[in-house]
Amino acid sequence: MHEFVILPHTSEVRIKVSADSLQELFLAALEGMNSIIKNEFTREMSLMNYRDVIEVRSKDVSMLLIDFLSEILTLSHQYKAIFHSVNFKELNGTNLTVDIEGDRIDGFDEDIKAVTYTEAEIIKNENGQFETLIVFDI
Amino acid sequence: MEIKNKLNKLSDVIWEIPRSYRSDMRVPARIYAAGEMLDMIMQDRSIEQLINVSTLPGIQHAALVKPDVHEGYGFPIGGVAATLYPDGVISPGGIGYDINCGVRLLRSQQHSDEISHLIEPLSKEIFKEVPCGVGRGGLLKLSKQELDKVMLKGAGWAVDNGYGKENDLLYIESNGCIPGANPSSVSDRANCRGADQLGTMGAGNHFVEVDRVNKIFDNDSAQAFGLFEGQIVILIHTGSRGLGHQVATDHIRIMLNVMDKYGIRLPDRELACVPFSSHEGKEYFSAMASAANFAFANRQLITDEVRKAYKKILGSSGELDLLYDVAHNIAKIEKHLVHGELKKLIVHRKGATRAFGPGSEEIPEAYRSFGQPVLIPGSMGTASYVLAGTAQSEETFSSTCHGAGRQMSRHAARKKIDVNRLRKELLDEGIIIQAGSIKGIAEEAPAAYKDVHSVVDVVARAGIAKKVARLKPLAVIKG
Repeated sequence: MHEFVILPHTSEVRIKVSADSLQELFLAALEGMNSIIKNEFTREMSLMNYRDVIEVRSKDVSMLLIDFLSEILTLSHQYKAIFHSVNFKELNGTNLTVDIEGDRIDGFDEDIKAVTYTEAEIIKNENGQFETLIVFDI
Repeated sequence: MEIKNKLNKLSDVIWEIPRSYRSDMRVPARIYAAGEMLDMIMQDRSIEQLINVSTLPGIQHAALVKPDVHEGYGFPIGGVAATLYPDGVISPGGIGYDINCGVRLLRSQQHSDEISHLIEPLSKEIFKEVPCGVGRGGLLKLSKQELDKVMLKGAGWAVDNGYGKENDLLYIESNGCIPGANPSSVSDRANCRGADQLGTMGAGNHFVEVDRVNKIFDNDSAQAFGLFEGQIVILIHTGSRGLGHQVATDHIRIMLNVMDKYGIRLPDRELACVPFSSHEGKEYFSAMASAANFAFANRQLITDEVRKAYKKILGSSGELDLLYDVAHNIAKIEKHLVHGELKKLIVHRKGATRAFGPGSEEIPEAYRSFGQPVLIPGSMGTASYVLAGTAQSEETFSSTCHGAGRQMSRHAARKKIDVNRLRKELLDEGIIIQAGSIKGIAEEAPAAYKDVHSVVDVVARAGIAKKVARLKPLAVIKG
């Protein structure tokens, strides 16, 4: 199980993501980011399909999550696409390799300039779930 | 409220959190705000972020915020931090992802009464000419070689290629080109994102606005700036688009991975920094200057698009001159007095505007006796201001506010604002909106911003800028 919720932030967009596993947490964060870029995306909007492989090495798992989202955000801007499907080949505290699949669409709803590291800290919450905040620069 | 109790009142509009407040502070933190603004400022993380900024290695005098402050990520928006050159740190977060986001003001020779019937067609024509919207590309598709030239020459590239007048360059901060740019410090991905975005506005709080000068506060300065009451002027607000965003993303990541090498520990990763003199510091500054120059060229191309629209609607009398162009997300190498000693500094302005006082050689000769023009965009329904820098602004590293400053989240604004009603209210006040997105109108509604008049009053009372003119929006063009 995983979810994201939007929390108040004066100028940017802050979300809280939580999930039962690390993989699910990464997926929840991606879903959160995609929902900001394109609020009601459906595969029927697809103009073209893209596949890519992402490899990320980071100093710790919180940075890994932000770097993963940043990689996908860059590809989203580059291809004007929403990357919605993720197949995890490797995910540990510092390394990630995934196959991703996305669809080109005719426009975004919101311009996320960047995924920021501020406030990102993956912890285990009182329910035993992984949880973190993420602030997107809008 | 704990921080509020620790504030020292230095004047009616200047408050200081002493260095003793937190053990990792290297300098005090200063807030420029009226007393009645403090409660609102303390509702978000602005002051905690300001205190974090005061921990940067090499920071001088004080970490500063202006009355338009609100929480950002790492640095607060509305913040200024100067570090000692060359071994103090440079922090991309102190500039922001939208490198050289800034404002440009064009002046016409028309009185609004002469062309009131043309404002709507003009707004439509500008909306047609200036590409806007999220991720939207423009008509130009630059080769890597040409993009490199843009990053090296800035607005000068645009003028060389027929997008403007040679004279325009005199009226841009740093003449539209920050020295030290090196496109080889800019990643292929950043190049890719910038290749088709020159001459585009983007979305969010970026806009082109047709304004009327509705009040002159300082006749001599206004005359020097070529402003008169009733005059039609055009304000342009945008930055370095995806290219700048990617430059910041790339270099923050690089810095986070090498900070240990320099023994740097920070309370927030988004403050990531390295010594300016380090390899990584020099690489970032070269990339930042490249992106800043891209932004100057971007505003120059948009100027060309706006001039075309203006001429098409007004005919041969439709000339627009550049009054000034100034960045509000930038780091500059400047000399300032610190405790009476002249020091070379790396001045980070994150949502803050340079405001050099009279006499500075950085100010165009025609304005030099009056202070540097400072352009403060308000919200779409209120007003914008033209200010001038003062000698006293030296106390804030010649920096002042950059806008009204948000007070309501975008999410809350979307929930709260009825866009149709807002459009009608604005129209009733004589303000036409041309926007690509309904959501964008709600997010940028006047209620989402602080009162720009109060913000400007604070910087004027503090003496770090003086009021020259107030502008009233007639048409707002947004993505």
